Amino acid sequence: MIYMNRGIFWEIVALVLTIAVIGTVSLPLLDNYVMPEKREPNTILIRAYIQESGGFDPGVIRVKKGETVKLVVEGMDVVHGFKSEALGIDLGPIEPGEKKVVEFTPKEEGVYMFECTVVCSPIHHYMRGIIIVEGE
Amino acid sequence: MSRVNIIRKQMSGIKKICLFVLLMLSLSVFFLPVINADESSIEDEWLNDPHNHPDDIRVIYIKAYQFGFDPEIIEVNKGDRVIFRIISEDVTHGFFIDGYTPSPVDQKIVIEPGKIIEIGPITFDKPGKFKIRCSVTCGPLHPFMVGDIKVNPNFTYYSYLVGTLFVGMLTLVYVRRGPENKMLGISLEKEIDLLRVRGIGPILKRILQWRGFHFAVLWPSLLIFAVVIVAGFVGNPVGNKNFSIAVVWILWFALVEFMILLAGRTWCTVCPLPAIGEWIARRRLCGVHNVRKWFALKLKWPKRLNNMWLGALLFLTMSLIIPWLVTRPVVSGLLFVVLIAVGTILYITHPPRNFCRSVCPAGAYIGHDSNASIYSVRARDKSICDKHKAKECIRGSPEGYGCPWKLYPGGHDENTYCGQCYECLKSCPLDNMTVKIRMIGKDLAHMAAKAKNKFDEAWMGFIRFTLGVFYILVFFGPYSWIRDWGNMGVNFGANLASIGLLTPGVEGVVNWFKWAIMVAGVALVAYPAVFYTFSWFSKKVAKTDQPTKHIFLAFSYALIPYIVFIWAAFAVAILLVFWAYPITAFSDPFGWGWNLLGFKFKWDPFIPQSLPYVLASLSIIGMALAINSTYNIARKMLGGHDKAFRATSVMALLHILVAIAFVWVVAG
Ligand code: SF4
Ligand SMILES: [Cu+2]
Ligand SMILES: [Cu+2]
Repeated sequence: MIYMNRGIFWEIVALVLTIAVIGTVSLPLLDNYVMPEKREPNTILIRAYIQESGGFDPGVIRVKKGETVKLVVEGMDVVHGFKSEALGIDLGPIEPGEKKVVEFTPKEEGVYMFECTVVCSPIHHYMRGIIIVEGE
Repeated sequence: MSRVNIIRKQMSGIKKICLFVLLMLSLSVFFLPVINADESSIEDEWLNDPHNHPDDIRVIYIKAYQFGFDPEIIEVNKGDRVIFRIISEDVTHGFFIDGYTPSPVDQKIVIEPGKIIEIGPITFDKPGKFKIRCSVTCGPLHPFMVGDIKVNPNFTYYSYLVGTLFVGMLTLVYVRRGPENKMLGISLEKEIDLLRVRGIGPILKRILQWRGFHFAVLWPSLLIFAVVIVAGFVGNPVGNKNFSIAVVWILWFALVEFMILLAGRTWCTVCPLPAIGEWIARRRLCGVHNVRKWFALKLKWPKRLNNMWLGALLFLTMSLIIPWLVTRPVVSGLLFVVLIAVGTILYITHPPRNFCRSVCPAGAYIGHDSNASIYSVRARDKSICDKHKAKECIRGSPEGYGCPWKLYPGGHDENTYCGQCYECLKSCPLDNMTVKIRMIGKDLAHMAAKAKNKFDEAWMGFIRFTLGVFYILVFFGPYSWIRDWGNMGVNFGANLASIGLLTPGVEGVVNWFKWAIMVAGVALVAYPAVFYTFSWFSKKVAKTDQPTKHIFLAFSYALIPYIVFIWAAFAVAILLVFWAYPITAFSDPFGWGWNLLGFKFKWDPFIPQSLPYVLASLSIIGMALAINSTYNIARKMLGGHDKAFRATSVMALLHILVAIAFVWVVAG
């Protein structure tokens, strides 16, 4: 039997707890598990930041022709919009913390643009992205 | 064979070029702005109200911008029916009037750029001052995007003015009767020995004497501050959605202010900043380890730094960047990384808590202010300490370390440098150390009498006091230009990846210098000068031959309870308006839309229309305490009731004037 001093025992418990704190740096990785939109099939989460902070994230989206996809647009910082004229989508203003959802089935291959429709920053007019519809 | 291959290669090269061109073309859409033509004409349309409103309706035109409203202050008369016509100058804003518009959770008013929003008619039937607030996150300073609306006649303001004067006079009448060693009627000699209170006393004592106590309460805050740093670096660039801002500058800040009053330096008990250094140096997390075997350089702390100056000036420096600090996650994250790094290194080079005593900006103000606390760690019976030669509380014992704050716990009689680590409770073999609850301001008189050259503590007081009043004006006042000066005109939030967005323009830097001169000038020069003048007058009126300098320094201690109540007022305002942010941040620390704990709250101020009165009342309590403290100090210093009263009446004038200014800021 290993004899362990009670003091040493608590030191080790405390040390383990302290080292465990370092684990917080991996918290951001939880994103893929915590956000349902990141787990569900055929669902794409688009986070909308002002263009200065990166704009739509992701800004380039690949979908398959003929396959129904669900786009979830999440407002992150200020009010944004989401519109793709070519695809006939307009979600209207999206408040920070709000999510708006649209489902669509791309019929034709091609590159479609989407853009923010609410003035959200000095370079708002550059806030846009593309949806690439690929064939099977 | 080889020929074919070459051709195929060329073909694929051409294909690649084609693809490349195509890609560039599609990417070029990113660089062509789409501009809608109808956005410029909105201003004319806004001012040309097409409706024919009935005569009894007033139309008020408001322009919302980052981060304020134009006009800044609106006045209406009681009974007015008002329609607001609002446009936005830049991004989408919201609109909310304390006590007049519905809760933003039920109905949110959104002001999109390019649109005219009409609200009303609202009948202004309650007089007073109300805040117009932005209710849609619009950028980093959004939480402080406020304007004023005054509904005249503002009776409550006038009655609070009269009330301030009345309470001030009443306090003077009270001290005129010569209460000795009392604070507003409560004896300063009476103390409760918390660890001997029946029921909870023995339990508390066991907890405080348990060696694992310090680690157990410290670890959760270490965890929280680790999340603060991670969130500050990678989380949402908008502050109110980011754990680092929401938890530190709303929850932590407010809790510390209340703790100062109710539990002294309890924050320093659980503070994680110097903890890592302490553990490394001691080579123990819970247990006691012989000082000779410490992992530390044990250099001597320079004598010139053995005071509060460095901490006080660092606190002021932080205040100069406060609009950034409390709204930009990355700035907060960096601050805590730096504080932890410096705290750790200094513990190893200069143990024990020299960092906390002399460097930490939080330590400086918490230590200074906690002298107005009802909480104290003291010896039960000082005569026992005098006779006890072994002095384990200084030298340490196998039960506990000698005081890491370099105090003689058995003899000390002020809270300033007592970090409430409770080592003395463990090391004292005679069970003579305890926690005492007493009336606010017990120690101020004897501290003041000793303060012959303690300019550091006096100036810490001036800095804290002026900033407490000033911040209410800056963060909850209608004057957006002040905020903008301090903010260097930067409209972006930032995490580590987007830290470059914080680069200010030339104009922003120039404005920041104006702000810095204004803040530092008021805190370091103007108010101390006024205070000195009043001290000089009170010396003349009291006809004493004490040097003015001494009177001036001594009377500055009377500000401490005042400071505590002014800052408590600020903390109440922050909590009532922003309570939803920190709670939500625990569920969604990075502001990415998580819901870890299953709850989220929307911004919904809790009875914000009561704030002017709650805040004004707190400042009046602070004022009364300050007047009575001045009297107690004067009585100890000048000897005799008569001189003390005359000196107090002069200083009371200053304390009342400041309270009136404060009431004007919050309610007028
Ligand atoms: S002085 Fe500063 S670092 Fe030290 S315990 Fe207090 S807050 Fe923490
Ligand atoms: Cu946008
Ligand atoms: Cu706004």
